[in-house]
Amino acid sequence: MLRVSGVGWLGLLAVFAAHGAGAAPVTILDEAERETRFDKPVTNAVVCNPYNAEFFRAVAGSDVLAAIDAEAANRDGYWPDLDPGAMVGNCFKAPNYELMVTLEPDVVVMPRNYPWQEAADRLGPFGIPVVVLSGWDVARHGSTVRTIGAMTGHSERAEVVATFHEAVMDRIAEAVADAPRPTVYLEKAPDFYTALVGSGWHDMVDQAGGTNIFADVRIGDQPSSRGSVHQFQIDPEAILERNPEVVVKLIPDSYEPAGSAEMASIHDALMMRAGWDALHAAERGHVYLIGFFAAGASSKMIGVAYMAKWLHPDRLVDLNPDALLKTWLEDFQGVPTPGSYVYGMTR
Amino acid sequence: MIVADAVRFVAGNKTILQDVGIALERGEFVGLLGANGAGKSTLLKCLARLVAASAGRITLDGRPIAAFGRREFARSVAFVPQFMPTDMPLTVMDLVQLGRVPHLRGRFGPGDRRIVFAALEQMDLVPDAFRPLAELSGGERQRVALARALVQEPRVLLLDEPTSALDLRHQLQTMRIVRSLAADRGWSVLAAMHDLGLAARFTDRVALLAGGRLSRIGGWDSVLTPDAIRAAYGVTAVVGCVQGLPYVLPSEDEPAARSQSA
Amino acid sequence: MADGHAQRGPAAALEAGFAHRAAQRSAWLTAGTILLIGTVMVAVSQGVNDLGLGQVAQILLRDLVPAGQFADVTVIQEKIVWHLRLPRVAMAVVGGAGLAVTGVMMQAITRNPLVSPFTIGLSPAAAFGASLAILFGALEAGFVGKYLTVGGAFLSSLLCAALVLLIAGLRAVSATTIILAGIGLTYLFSALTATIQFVATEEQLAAIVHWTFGSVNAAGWDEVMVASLLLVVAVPVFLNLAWVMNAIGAGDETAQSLGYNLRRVRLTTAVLSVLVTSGIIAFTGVIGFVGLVAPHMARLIIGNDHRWLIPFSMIVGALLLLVADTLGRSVFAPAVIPVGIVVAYVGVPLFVHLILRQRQVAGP
Repeated sequence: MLRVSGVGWLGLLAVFAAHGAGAAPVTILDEAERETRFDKPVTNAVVCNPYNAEFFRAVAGSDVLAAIDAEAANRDGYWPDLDPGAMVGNCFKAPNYELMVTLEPDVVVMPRNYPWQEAADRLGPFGIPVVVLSGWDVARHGSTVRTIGAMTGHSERAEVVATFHEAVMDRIAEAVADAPRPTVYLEKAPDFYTALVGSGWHDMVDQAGGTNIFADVRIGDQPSSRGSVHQFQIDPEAILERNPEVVVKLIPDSYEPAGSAEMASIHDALMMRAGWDALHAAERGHVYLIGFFAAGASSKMIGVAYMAKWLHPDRLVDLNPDALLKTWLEDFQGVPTPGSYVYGMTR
Repeated sequence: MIVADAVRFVAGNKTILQDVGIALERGEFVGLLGANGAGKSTLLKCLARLVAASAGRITLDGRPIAAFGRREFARSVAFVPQFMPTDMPLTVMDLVQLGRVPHLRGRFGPGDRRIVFAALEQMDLVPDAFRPLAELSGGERQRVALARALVQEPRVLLLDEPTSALDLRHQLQTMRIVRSLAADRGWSVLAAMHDLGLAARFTDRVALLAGGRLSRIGGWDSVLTPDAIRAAYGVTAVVGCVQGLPYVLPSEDEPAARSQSA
Repeated sequence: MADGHAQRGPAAALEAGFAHRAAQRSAWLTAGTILLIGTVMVAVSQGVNDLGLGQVAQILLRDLVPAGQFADVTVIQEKIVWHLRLPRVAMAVVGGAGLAVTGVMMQAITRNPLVSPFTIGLSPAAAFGASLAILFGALEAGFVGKYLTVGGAFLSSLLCAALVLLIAGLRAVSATTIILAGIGLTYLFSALTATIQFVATEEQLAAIVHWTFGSVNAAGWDEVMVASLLLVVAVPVFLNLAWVMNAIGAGDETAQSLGYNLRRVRLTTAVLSVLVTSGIIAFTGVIGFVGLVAPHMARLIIGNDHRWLIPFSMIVGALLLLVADTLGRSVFAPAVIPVGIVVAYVGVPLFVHLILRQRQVAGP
């Protein structure tokens, strides 16, 4: 079942029109409701934000990338086909407009929380359009990917990329729909920080068929010193009280995984926490680690897949998150899989 | 000449000046005497138009001082404060030059420079001419302040304690200069002073401020009587003259008399 | 020794000293101006496509430089110079000059060398105004939104300044009251901005944070025009007030005795300073340091006479910001480090050097 947003439909219509009339111009409606007309498909794009860059590469190949930004470039080794100089600085704080212009791209792409209006002003005199797409927004995965497809003339491929995400998500949703939901403690990189309702990380637990043990905590009632919905500080004792059946900890990494030795030591440190040997999760060996890089891949689909597999192994026997990740990296991103990004007693 | 009539100054609920009247003639040097808090500075500032009197009239050559334009007034009346701030790195030259401001037409020219240099020489400031004020002693700064007033070339000079930080030599020097400004250039000079002997020696008249009024104005020997001094300052003093030099020596202070000064 | 001879001696020495110092100041002013022009040329030549100075001259002075003298410049290179480099260079120059000169004026009227436009709360006020505009939909307003944000920042700074003057005016427009009112308002506006950040959406928060980075990266000719306009209006007024600034330095009583209306002078100066500063930071965001330190650096070199200090501080401020921006986009290229960050790295060593040099000269 394809889920396509309004924007995606527009993109699709544009594609069909192009097919019918040959290489006809395409008009894109972006997230900021701006229309941009492309007379020919985009073959040279400056793309800001790592997720945007990933989608461009998945849909149109790394040749379409004229340059990426510093945030994306920070993923060492992830962009082997790109020149180290093809980096336009920190697009959020101070984009290097001069470099963008020199590359003579067909388009510059920025998420909606980046200074796209400023970029449009600066690039206007050079006739370079700015398109607003937020690859980090998992809810807009489908429309973002399909819009990129329409822009680059690779709509079929975009469909494959979008379906890759949607098919797995749908399958997991169906499988866990009427299943009992194990209680889960999701920990962020710093100790005793979790995610609350309102955060995409909380949604990941939900979509994987679990119940966040801190789902009842509402950020509005909490003192601001404890953090945001994405990273909220909890009392260690509360974990013991709520006694989760599964523990998942997100660990910091990049394209280069944290490594089995480091993951082992983080895992051991978790198990050695006071009172943790009495947790359901510890008794049954359901304590897992997953790196941010893998968890966030394909708009968090990979993270949901791993978590769903851990929570409902019997209902998702044929689901293979390792294979999915390998497909994402090797088929869609064109880079080798450097190792494992997860750790846990049962895989 | 500058005339004050029934001047009253009230600050908050304190009446500092009750009913002050004085007339400064051309070419005369008058000493303004009185205890701390008697209102000497306040009176000077009223005359200088730095503060507004609560009541009374002050006229310059018959015109009320409020009728003068600011620059016009500044060309006639100069006020020299007792202290100058040293927060900013002004040099002596910077400050003394300022005296020409009310007279400047356009740029600061060679004529203005000559006047400034003459004043610096007269006040013994040539070696220090380009030094920052902050590096000078309090006494040296007082001389700089007076130099600025010389450069301003007013007709009325109002001085607030011009010798308070000066050494003996410079006290005499300054008093001589001030006296000559009155005698030779015809300026009206009113100087608030603490040193009664110095005031007696160099001024033409003295005015004693006590209880918010100028209780006595006149020659020093008629004003500075032991009774008057006791009433105004709350001390018993010995007043006299030796080798033509007047002296006022305080001997004992009297507890009761201290409440006399407003 | 004849009296005439002794009379000539000291006067001649003073005349010589006076002339020497005037010549020195002229020399510094001239050297500064030449250095600024040279730095502008170098800044324009620096970038992703480095250009030779000759090529820069060719682009800027098209008709005056005979064709074929220097290597040909592509259309894109020319466009980069006119649409990207020149505006940012101009913004750095105008911004640096404006912040420095308002620093000088505010320090003069408060007789406090620690005062800068930001000491009276303008920076947090501007940030608050921009945040408010963003919170109330400047982001959704499309192309108008930019002007809403700038307008918000500008109006908010003016409001802050009005409050400072109101508070100060209720007592006496004196140095201390201005400073105290400014400190209070700094805290107030900072708290207000923090509150907005707390209730803003993530996207709005990102925009607010982006705005506060002091940067000339976003400068286009529109922005430069507005900022320059305010500066061009204010500077002649400031120059006219040079003598008053000198006088205030000698004390309020001395200044009043010279015939100045201090209340009106302080009001005029404060209002113009606020307009100029607001007009700059509304576009560049928060750039500290220049308004505080450029006046000092200028004073250490050229002295406290505002007839010289006002123009020279503008040169120092412009150079500081221009060098900072040029380094910020060259040293770690292609990353662009915002000028607000670099200016401290550039300025502090220079400032310390000047302080130490002065102490040696002054002696024990």
